[in-house]
Amino acid sequence: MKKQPKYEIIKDQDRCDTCRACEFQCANGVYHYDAEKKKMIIDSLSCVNCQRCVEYCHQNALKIIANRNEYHHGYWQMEDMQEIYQQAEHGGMLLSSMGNDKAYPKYFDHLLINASQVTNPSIDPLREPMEVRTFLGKRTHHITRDTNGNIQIKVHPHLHLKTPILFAGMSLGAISYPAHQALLEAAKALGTFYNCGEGGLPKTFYSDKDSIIVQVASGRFGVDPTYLKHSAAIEIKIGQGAKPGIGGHLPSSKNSALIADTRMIEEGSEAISPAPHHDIYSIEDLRQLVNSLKEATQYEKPIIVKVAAVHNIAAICSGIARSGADIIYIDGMRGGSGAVPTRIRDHVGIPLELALASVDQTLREEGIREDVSIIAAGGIRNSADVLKAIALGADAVAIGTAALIAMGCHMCCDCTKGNCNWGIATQKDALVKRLHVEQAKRQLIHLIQAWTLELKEMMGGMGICSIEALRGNRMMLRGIHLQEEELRILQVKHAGSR
Amino acid sequence: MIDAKNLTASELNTKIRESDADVIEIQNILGQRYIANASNGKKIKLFGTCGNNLGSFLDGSEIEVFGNVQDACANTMNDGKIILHGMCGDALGYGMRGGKIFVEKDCGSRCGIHMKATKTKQPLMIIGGVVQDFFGEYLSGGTLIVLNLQNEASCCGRYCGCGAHGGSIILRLSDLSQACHLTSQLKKVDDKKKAYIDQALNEYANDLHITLPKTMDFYEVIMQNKNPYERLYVEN
Repeated sequence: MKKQPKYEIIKDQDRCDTCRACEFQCANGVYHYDAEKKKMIIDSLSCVNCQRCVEYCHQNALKIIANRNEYHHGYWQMEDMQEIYQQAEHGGMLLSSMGNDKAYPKYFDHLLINASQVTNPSIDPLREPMEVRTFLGKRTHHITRDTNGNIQIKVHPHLHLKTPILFAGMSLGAISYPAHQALLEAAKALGTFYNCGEGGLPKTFYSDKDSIIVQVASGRFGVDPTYLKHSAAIEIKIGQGAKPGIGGHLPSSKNSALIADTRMIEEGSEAISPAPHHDIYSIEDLRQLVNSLKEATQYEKPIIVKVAAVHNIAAICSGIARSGADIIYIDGMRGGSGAVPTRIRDHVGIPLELALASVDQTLREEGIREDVSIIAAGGIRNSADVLKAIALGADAVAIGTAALIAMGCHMCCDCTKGNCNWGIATQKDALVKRLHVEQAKRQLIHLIQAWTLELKEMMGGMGICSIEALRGNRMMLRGIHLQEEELRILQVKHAGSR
Repeated sequence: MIDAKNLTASELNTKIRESDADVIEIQNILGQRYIANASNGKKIKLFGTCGNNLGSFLDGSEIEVFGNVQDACANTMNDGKIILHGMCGDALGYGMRGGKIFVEKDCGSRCGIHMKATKTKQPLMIIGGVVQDFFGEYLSGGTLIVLNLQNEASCCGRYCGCGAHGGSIILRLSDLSQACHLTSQLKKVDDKKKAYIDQALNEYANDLHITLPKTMDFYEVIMQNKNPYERLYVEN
């Protein structure tokens, strides 16, 4: 069965001056120069639509379009058939990258934000202070005093963010070393946090521990006491929005000397993260790992537990809150991944918005909401999504895909092959060099600064001058085009309701 | 000497951290968890029954236990040595990447899961008795040895070495039927491996003060695949 190209490259012959930039820029081997015919030969089958050639064509001679076959059927789509051909030939599970791209509802786009009119006047953020500082961790419940009546202050370990946006965990292996450098440098400049993901922490990053969240995942890659100490917080990764219920695998071909050293494994070996933590079979076991990490770091760091948004997420998070964890990280089904089985990515998990609202409501009803902070992630695309997530109950959000796009990712969704032409999702030296750390850092800083400005603008419009007042404040949202059950779960009134 | 009676795990660990004794002896341990977590540079003798997560993230200390130990001992151990004069619960040495664990008697399920090696570290775990299910699952480096010194009918439970893709699992079998739950193929260890085992067992016997049988037959579990996922996926 002949494989059909997903994309077609259209070249304007009159404009092409055969400078061969397209050939040099493409790591997928789409272009080669035929010296005899003195023209570029194009193999569209290898094109992944990363747009690198288009951007580097100084003659603007190239255009990539989706290869829309004229085949039509009311039920069977060409994509379905292509996947069957692929599996009939190879017999394996289909592998994809990035997040769920199916047409499930985008609840963020069905929520509208409030603004003040006449009463409770709006605030001009350019003129008046707007507070977006965020503290993540347990809150102190009771005031205690010593025998002289002085207040005894017991503050639980927490994270202090200048804006309620963090960078999501992405491992060295999934993305390149310069991408990690850019994320860390940007986090430092912004007063937020970089998360090294489950692939260990490069030793060159140790000096910036106050801006770093380290991850403890099922493979325990790179985890030792030194690693734990060089962090502001420790994240136990139970699940990931892109692939709830399954583990991960960095193939030996990507396991370079740097990655092996960082993950503390042998170079060239397979790096497999099992689906479960084999020491966690219950909430009691989770509590044990939480306490074990706290004991190992002498109770100086908040512990985050990251879970994927799944059907019974509210009950799960209730358990996590009782496990002693300080922060719950909920990763929705739009969350990305360097490699994920297609069926898992596209069919497992639930939307972040529903999960978040349900968890926030449950924790409030059970009187344990103040025991944990909530980080929401998995599909945050802009500052309006940030604001809506906070109004649905999040304390802060984490961004992964949006951060990659800010660094130059063009969402070709072909990370699995490791041929990222933008130097982000690759470990190949020649490609890695293409990502300029300073430029990527600058773009990340600009993005978060812009989102923070927009957040303040929207908050000001609502008459809210502190992000604390927005947290879980569903009255600031109204639903549009939503069913009664959806509104009930979101705890949001329909637009036009009084 | 530290008396652990009525001490919480945190109080006990504080005392361990603050102690500058050459050998820290702790009496009356009754189920305290997280003892000596992330500890390095200490020599600790424990008397009693240790709770879960003994020596988690251990980073170089030597722990000797005169009694039994519960689950998740040596979780993510990085370096050091743990000597157990007794039995051990489930998930011993999960994610361990360095150091040595010597157990005199039996262990529970899921021991040695995801043990791995580095360029400079080759972890070693020797069990004197038998082990239960999932022994050495996802093993990617280091050596696991089961001696079955009591000659039980089965030396290991089901799913031994499931998903393993590196390292080695060595079983001492006085009768091949003792590997009755094993679904992988076995091979007799070669001379190089035998020399390594002999050296390791010498240290094991010395540390536990026991005498091992003069002749023992060792078999190595043949890993089914260096990459268990090799044929599982196809690019979409």
